[in-house]
Amino acid sequence: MSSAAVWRGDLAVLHVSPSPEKSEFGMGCLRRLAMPQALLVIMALLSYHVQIITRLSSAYPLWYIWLISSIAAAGRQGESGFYFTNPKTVVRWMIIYAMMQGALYASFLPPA
Amino acid sequence: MALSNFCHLLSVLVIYSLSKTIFAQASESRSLIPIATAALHIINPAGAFLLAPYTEALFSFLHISGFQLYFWGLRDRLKHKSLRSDVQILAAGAVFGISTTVRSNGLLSGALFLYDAIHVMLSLLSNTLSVEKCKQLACFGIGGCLVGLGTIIPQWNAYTRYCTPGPNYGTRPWCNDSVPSIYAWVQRHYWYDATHPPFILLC
Repeated sequence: MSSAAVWRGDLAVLHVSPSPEKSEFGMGCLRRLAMPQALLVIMALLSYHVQIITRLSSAYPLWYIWLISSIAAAGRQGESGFYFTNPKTVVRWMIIYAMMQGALYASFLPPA
Repeated sequence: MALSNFCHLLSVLVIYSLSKTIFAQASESRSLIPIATAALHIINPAGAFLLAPYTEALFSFLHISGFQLYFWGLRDRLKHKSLRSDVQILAAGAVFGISTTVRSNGLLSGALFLYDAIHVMLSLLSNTLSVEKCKQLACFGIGGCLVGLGTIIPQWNAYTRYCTPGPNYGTRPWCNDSVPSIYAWVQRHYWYDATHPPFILLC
């Protein structure tokens, strides 16, 4: 609980999110980043092996941008909107998984 | 393995640069989105795959560099630097094409070129013709084709090696398929797990 408050406080102080007057170019770029990623998501849901989703996600930057923007927006306004998956949980999971994956990988367990 | 690690480092740097390009016009130059995005890429869930000698790190670097070149091209187009913009968009196509030879899901990024090509085509149809727009359309078209070549060239290579008269002629069963794709054969023959029909591992 306290660590979550510290996280929010740091980000609120550091003013992370994009400004309300989002640039046309920036929005166009984000839309273009979304397209291949959306196609990938559809194909991953329909036909890819579930283990390779984390592998593939490394090359598509839009979801990082979404994570940071969501966390920053929550931090700045002190509110947390409704998320299908809480972005803070995702970041925490990434850190824990980074540590666990080394052990899993060395033992030839999934996802390797 | 050194290549993988180096590519992972490069792709963190390219993500930083890409985020700066996208959010360049946001009011705060102190914005931490670029650096936070790059930091997240360091603790990417594909962690071990990016450090081990898999193709993930190389693909990630090439793919994100492709995006970077593409957005630079779009930005220069807005600034009316049309030659530079064309070169960058074609370079983006080439880089995406190379990334597609590394991992075939790079092919999905051809959607970018298709999207912009459709935009230009619609504006051509609704407004008057102009040389500039035709040139843009050609650029996006060629860029898209370069991405597609990345998947066609390796398969063409395999086809000419195994399916045409030569030392290996007649040895491979996939030559007679309606679309003689070595990729489909490898998927079907080596990876298909009959107990999990809907999930086919796509390498």
